[in-house]
Amino acid sequence: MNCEDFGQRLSQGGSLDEAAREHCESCVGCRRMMRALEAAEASIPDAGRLEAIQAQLAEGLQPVRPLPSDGQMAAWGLAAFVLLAAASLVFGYRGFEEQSVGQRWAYFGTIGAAAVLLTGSAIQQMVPGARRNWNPALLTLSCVCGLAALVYLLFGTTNLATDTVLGIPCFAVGLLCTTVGGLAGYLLVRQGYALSPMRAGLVTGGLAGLTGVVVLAVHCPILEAGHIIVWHIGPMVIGGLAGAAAGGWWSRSEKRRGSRPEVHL
Amino acid sequence: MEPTSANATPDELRELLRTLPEAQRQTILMLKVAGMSLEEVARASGTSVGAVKQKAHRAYQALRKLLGGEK
Repeated sequence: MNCEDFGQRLSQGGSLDEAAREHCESCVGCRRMMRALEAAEASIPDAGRLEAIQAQLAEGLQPVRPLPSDGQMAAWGLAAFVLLAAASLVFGYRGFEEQSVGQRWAYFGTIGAAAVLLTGSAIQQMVPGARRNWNPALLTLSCVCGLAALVYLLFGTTNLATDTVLGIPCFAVGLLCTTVGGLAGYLLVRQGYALSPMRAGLVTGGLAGLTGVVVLAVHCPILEAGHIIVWHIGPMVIGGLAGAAAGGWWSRSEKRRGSRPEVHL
Repeated sequence: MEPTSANATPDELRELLRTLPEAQRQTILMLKVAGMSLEEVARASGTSVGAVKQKAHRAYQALRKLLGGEK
């Protein structure tokens, strides 16, 4: 047996066999390593001390409700998104009518994909220890830029971005949807425990802003990239930034009260 | 960093472990210092048992090189 084989055997776990023990006795490097690891194991506090530490930690603990599964929470989040979007139908759906079939598939399909990604990221943010597949800031930015690029390709531009008479009503609707969606998102995310409230706020605010994008996609008949990017997608950017700011404020106020430890992610 | 004696102390081991990549360091700490099983380490780190074994193997290789002596 050589050192490579010994390392493989050690990494399998369990006790060492005869061949491994013989190698350890004959190899200086492996013997040193084993003694160092055994010394580290011996430095663990005894059972009595560990129980005392555990009792100290348990003093300040309070019961929490168990979280629903990730799938359930994602379903709730997406259902809220769809409901808010569907509620906009009361204002009419001229925007939907103005789009061609291909434009509808591309635009609403992309919005749907962004909603799924942002919802998944929000769920990950609210569950401590959940695997975080994406950086929430990069994800939100990618969704915003991706939507903007798609809109530019689909609808082209005639420089309506600066037309505030047409733009401000859409912007107001977008902000209203972002606010309502943000409150709904807050109610969902507070069911868990976000290790980084700022990141949770960023992605939840972006998702809330996305509800405004889909509402306006259904309702607004102005199919021009400049108008859509500034007055429809703009509130999504504001939603993300406002969510991050709110999360940062929440985190600082909890730290001042001493109810949130420092977490370095 | 070379250990000051033939047998590395826990403090020296901790210093050596700091030179390892984060994933390998965490694996060794959980396996050897905290005494967790392979399955427990896999669950805690959100990976498979196979991935834990691989990280542990690489960590042992690196530690052995740092402590000196390999054949």
